[in-house]
Order: sequence, then structure tokens, then C-alpha cells
Amino acid sequence: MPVINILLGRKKSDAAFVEGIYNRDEKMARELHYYCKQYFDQKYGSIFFADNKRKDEIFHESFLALWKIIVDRKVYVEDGELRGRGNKPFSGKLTTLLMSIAKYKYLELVRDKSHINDIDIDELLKKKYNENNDLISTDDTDDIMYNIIDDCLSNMPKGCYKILTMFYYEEKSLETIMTEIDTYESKNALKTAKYKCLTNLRNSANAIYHSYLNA
Amino acid sequence: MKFEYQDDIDDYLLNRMSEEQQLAFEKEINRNPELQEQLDFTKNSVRALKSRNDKLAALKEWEKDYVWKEQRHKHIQLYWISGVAALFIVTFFIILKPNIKEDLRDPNAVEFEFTPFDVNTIKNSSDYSDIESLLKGKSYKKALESIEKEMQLLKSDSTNIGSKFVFNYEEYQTKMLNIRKKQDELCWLKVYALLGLNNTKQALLILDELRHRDGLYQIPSDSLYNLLKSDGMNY
Repeated sequence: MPVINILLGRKKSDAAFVEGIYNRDEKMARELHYYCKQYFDQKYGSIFFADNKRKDEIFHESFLALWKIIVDRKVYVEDGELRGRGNKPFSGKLTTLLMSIAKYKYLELVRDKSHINDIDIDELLKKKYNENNDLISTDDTDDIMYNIIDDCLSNMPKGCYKILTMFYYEEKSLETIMTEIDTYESKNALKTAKYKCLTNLRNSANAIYHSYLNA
Repeated sequence: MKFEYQDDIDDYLLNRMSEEQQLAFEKEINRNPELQEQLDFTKNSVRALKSRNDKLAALKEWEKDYVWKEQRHKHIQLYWISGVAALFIVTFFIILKPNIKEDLRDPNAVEFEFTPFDVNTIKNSSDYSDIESLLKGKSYKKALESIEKEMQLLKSDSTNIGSKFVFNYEEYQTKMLNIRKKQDELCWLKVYALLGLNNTKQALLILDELRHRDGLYQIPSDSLYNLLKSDGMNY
């Protein structure tokens, strides 16, 4: 079926997508998003059950992770072939990779409410970093930390994420943030909250980083 | 991680420091590994936040695109299904058309096109559009029934007028003239209904009566009467 799709010009090859996205081709990223979303909508039911909101959230997180894998060149194209860590051929499909990411994203999301006990989830998450390790083609500690932070951001409490986004991404002043979020009575309270968010993010990232090193 | 370092780190990363402050801070970084570590962590966090939010913004945009494309895809599917269904229906009707025609029309109806007379241009409008519709639809029996009913009504109207306007002759005349016009119109419609039912004989009798009567239908009746007679049409 994929061959027919490619022949009919309906879907590009994974290598074309990877190459395009790595070269910051927005059209390619948009197209990959479309096919991944279609695939995800058809297949997610075999991995987990979730309402539409959660399903979309999982898709977004998974797609972002996939996108990052490509941009960070953990999967790349060489001589028209997909390759992963250690220049080894990457035999999987991007959609399959997306679904395996989605599986872990789901486990992370339901961590608090799941009937699966914490040890199992911890094991699975540890496995995730080992699996991801296969894709990581860099040994740069800073890069690994960045990836872990990126992952932790997706699981961060929404309030914290909002404060950090407004402050660091939108570059808003604490005064402006205070007017937009009513919760904080003083600038110092907001500053403390922001600091706590960063500290928690750092603690989570460090914990994962150490478990990754010990794996 | 120290709270007191964070303000300077933020100002440094968000370019909110003067050049002097920046140089002093960089010196401090080189001297203080703890500050360096906190700066590196914040830098990574800011980088991750920026990358993530940029991508989320793009995803939001693409999500709209996806919904639109999916809807379009569904619409196209719907158009295809409707198209095929329409084609099927048209084919079905083309094949079964003669039989259906027979079913809808009166059993003895013949191919006879009702044209709501050239006379319409003279009389402007018809009071019996329902009957005309029946004739156009080739429901001649129903049309004939309606005509008979209307004729009965006109008959009783003319009787009533006779008693009501006995002292107002002018008004009586006007009303009677109207009734006669309507009677003529009904007669004309009856001719069509009869011709549709293949009852040419009776139609000719009515036409003969109409063509000898002054009024809007005199000329059309005469011409139709002669046409039927001379051509020997198979009505």
C-alpha cells in the first residue's frame, strides 16, 4: 500500500520526509503531520483508550517528539536510506516510531490514575529512555539533558508551563504575567512560583538523567 | 540551585542586561561553577521551551489544516456517493420511465400536451390553476371531476345571483358575465380533459357549443374544432 501511495504521489517516502523536515521544509512537516495524524487516528485504539482531548494531547506530544528526533538528526538520511544511531540502517517506519512514542506518552499521562502500578510504569519509562538511546546519535551530555528537559516539559503541571512560557518564550515581564494570571498577589509570589517550577523541572530532569546513566 | 542567582540568569538570557552587567556576570560565571550549572540548566530549559512552543504553534495551524482536509475528503466522498446515487436513480428512471408514466396517468390517457391556451394571454390569469395543473400532469379524470364540481358551484352561484340582485340589474349583469366567462373557461378545460381521455366526440360537442358563443374562447374553439375535424386526429 505505501508503494502504491508513493507511486500515485499521495505520500512521500519516510526518507523524503526526514530529509525535508531536517532541512526545515515546513510543507514537508505539515504533510508528515497529516499522514501521522491519519495513521494515529486509525491505530491509537489498539494501543490505548482515551477521550478525544487526551488522545489529541498524546498525538501532539508524540508528534513533537518524532519531529525532534528528526530535527536532532537521531534519524537521518544517508545515500537515500534512513539511518539511526551509529550509522545503522533504520528499518522501522516513522509511523511505527510515532506509535511507540505514543504508547509511552500515554503511560506518562496516566501515571497518576493508571491501574498499572508505579513500578511497572517506571520500568516502562526506563525502557523508553533505553529505546530512545538507540536513536540518539549524540553522546553530548548537554544534548541529552536538553532532550530530557524537553520531555519533562510535556509532563509539567499546566500552571507551571504557562508561567515559564510567558516569561521565557513570550518574554513577558512579571508585572504583565501577574495581570494575566490572577492567582498571584505579588510580584515576589510569582517570582517564587516561577523559581519553584524551574526547581521541580530540574529535579525531574536530573532524576531521569541519573536513571539514564545507570541504565 | 539558588534563588538569588535566578534573576541575573534570567536577565542575562533574555538580554535585559547592560554591556557592563553582562561582562561582570560572565566573569562571575567563570568563577562560580554552581552559577554556571544553573545557567546551563536554565538555558536548556529556555531552548526547550522555545522549540516546543514554536512547534506547538505550527501544530495548531496544521491541526486546522488536517480538520479542513478531512472534511474536504468526507465531502468528496459524499459527492461521489451522491453522484453515483444520482446516476443510479437517473438510469433507473430512464429505464422504467414508460411504465411509470402509465401508472401515473389515467389509464386511457393519450399523448396529448396541455398548453394553458394561447387564450391566457388575453385573459391574463386563470381562476382554475389547480385544474390546469392536473391537466398538465395528465390526471384527466381528476381534472374532469374538479371541472364538474366547479360547474356545479357556478350553477348554484348563478341561481343565487338571480335572487339576490333582482333589484340591481347592472350588478346582476356584471356578475352573470363573470359566471359565463368562468363557465367558458371550464368548458375549454373540459375539452382538454376529454381529449386527454380520448373522448373526442364529447370534446367536439363542447367545442361546437363554444365556437358559437361570443367570448374569449370562440376563436380558439373554432380553430381546434376544425383542426380535429379536418385532420381526423386520433383522439
